[in-house]
Amino acid sequence: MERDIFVMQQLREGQTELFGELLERHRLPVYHFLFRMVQNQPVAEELAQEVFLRVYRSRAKYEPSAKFTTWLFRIAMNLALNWVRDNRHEMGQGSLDEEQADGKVRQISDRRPDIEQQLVHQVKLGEVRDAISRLPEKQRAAVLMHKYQEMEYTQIATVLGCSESAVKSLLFRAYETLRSRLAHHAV
Amino acid sequence: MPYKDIPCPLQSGENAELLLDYASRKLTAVQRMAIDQHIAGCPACQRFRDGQELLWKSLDTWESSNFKPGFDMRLEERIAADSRLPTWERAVLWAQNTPLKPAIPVAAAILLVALGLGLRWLWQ
Ligand SMILES: [Zn+2]
Repeated sequence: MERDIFVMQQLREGQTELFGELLERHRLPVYHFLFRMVQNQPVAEELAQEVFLRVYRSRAKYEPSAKFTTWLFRIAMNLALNWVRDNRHEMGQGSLDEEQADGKVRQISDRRPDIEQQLVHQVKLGEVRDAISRLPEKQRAAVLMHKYQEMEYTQIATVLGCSESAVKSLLFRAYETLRSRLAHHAV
Repeated sequence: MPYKDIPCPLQSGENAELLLDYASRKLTAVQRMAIDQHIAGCPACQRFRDGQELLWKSLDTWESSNFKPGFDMRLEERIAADSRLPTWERAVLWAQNTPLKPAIPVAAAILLVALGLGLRWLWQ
């Protein structure tokens, strides 16, 4: 049995101390996905809190019908899409500053000796974020799960509630759009 | 070998995901070899593969950021606050969290109709 499902069943039986194990394993992937969906660090953190709160609240009723991560990402995706629909104008605002305030990204920037190179990197990064954020929402979610979370087609299909072949054609269209939007990066 | 002399993934649509995944290095050695062999004689698939590899590099520039400290503690506090809520409020929260959310208004509507019919019957 999948470890996560076992843990959920133990949570149902009242062994709530195991919740930390789920959190430890999944908080970063969920957060990274949410961060790229909403492009705003504080919002992504707030939504990640909500995801795990929902997991905790659902523990008594949880029935394993698919992989745990599929169920988890379904919750995360629905929350992110709702937020994006309600806050279109806020998408990505303030997130660059937040990222630079963060240790990991600053380290990378600090290692770049050349300011010009740094600027080029920032421009490219901005273009990538913009190109992805302009994709239709299902395509965007599919790309983020496929490219950055390295999820299988079957899992993505379950999260999005469509067939595996629909996911593949969704991804083909999304990558085609991204290739043309970012074609100048090759030069 | 299942992948020997595969039909053109772009034209046939078969194994098209192998072209998508080529850049992600997720393919097995056999799958990779099959695509390499096909690409050697198919400029369209070669262009697709090259474009996809460049795109992958562009997408790699977007790193996520780390958490601010205190995430787990804040969550623990919210969970503790949750368990202090009265039972009815927890039931409402559970209903909000359940994936069967669309069924709730439907159930409420059925209940209202049933109530209406019951009242009418009593009236008559
Ligand atoms: Zn071909």
